[in-house]
Amino acid sequence: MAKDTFIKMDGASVNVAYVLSFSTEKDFIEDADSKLYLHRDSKTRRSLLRSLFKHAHKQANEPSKSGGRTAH
Amino acid sequence: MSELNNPGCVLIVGANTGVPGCTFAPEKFVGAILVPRNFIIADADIPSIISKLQELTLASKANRIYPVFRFEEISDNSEEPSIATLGYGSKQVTKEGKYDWTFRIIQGGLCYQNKLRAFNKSNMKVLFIDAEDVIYGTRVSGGLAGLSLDFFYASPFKANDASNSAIFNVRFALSKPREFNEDVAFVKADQDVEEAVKGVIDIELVQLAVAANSVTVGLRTACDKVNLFDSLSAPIADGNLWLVTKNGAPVTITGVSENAGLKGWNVLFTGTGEHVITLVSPEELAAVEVGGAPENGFEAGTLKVTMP
Repeated sequence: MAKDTFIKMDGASVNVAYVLSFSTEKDFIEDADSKLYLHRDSKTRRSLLRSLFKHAHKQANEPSKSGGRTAH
Repeated sequence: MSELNNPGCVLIVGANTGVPGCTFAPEKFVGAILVPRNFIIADADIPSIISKLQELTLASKANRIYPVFRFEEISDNSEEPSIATLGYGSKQVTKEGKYDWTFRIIQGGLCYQNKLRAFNKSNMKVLFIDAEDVIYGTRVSGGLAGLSLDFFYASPFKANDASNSAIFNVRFALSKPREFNEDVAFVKADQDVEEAVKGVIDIELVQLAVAANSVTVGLRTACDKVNLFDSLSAPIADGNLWLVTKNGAPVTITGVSENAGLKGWNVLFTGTGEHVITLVSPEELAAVEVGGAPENGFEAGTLKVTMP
C-alpha cells in the first residue's frame, strides 16, 4: 500500500487524497468543518481549511516542487 | 589440526606480572542493559557506542536493548570456588564460583518492577555499567557482546515495614566467570550512560469521544498515567504517525487534528464497526522528535474502537 501524503498545518494533518476528493472548496469546508481545528473559532477554522484546500491542490499540481508533507 | 593421540595440552607459562601505572578496577555497578543473545557492538562502532546503544533502545523487539538503572545497593551472593581435598591432603580447585548479584532499585516503583518481571523467563545477556560510566561486556570476534546469564530475576516487591520503604530487587546470575575476567571487554563512555541511554516508555491510547468517522484519542504513560497532550500536541497531530486497521487491513486516515478541549487528537477515517488504532514504531516516532535519545522513547499500545 502506497504511503499517504499528508499536509501538516497549525495542529492538524490532512490526507491530500481526502482533500482532492472534493471537487470544490465549499464541499471540502462543509465536510471538514466539524472534524478539523475544532479548538479554533469558526472564522479561523474556515480560513485554515481554505488554506489546506489550496495547498493540497498546489501540491497535486506541482508534485516535484512540494517535496514534503508540511505546508509551512 | 586434529591429531591421533594428542590430548591438546598447551604449555602454561602464566603471564608477566609487572604492575601497570594506571590501576583499573570496576567501580560500583549502577546499572545494566539487557541485550539480545545476538547483540554485538562491532569494533567499528565502539567509538560511538552511546549512539549505537541509543539506536538499539528503539529497535524492533527482536533487536531492542533494555536499560535498567539506579542500582542503589548490591548483595553479592556469588559462589566461592569449589575446592576438593584429596585423600593425601592435597587440594584442587574443581570449579570456579559464579557471579550472582542482587541490586536494589529505588526508582520506578511497582509498575516498573512488573515491567522488569516480564524478563524473568527471557533468554538475554547483559552489559553492566559502573559509576565511572564504564560499560562492561565480553570480548567476541569482531566486537563487544553481552555477558551470559544463568538467569535474570526481578523479585516480587518486599513490603514497606515502617523502617524501610518497599524493596525492589533485580538479580543477575552470570553463567561464565571467564567472560567478566580474562575475556572482559569494557568501554569508558564519554558521557553519563544512565542519562544518555534510556528505555522506552509504554504509552496507552484512551478513547475520549467517538462520532461518525472520527474518534478522539488521548495518550498517557502506561505506568503513571501522565497525559501527554500538552507536551506532544503538535508533533502527534500528524497522519503519518497513526495507524488504523480493520480486521488487520490498513484503513486510510483522512486527517488528524489536535483537540485541546478534550486533550486528545481527532483521528479521522471512514468506516463503521471495530477498528484498531495505534501509533508507528518508537524509531519512527523518534525520527520526528517524539521521544528518543537522550530522552525516553515511546511505544504505543493499541486501542479498539467501535465506530458508529
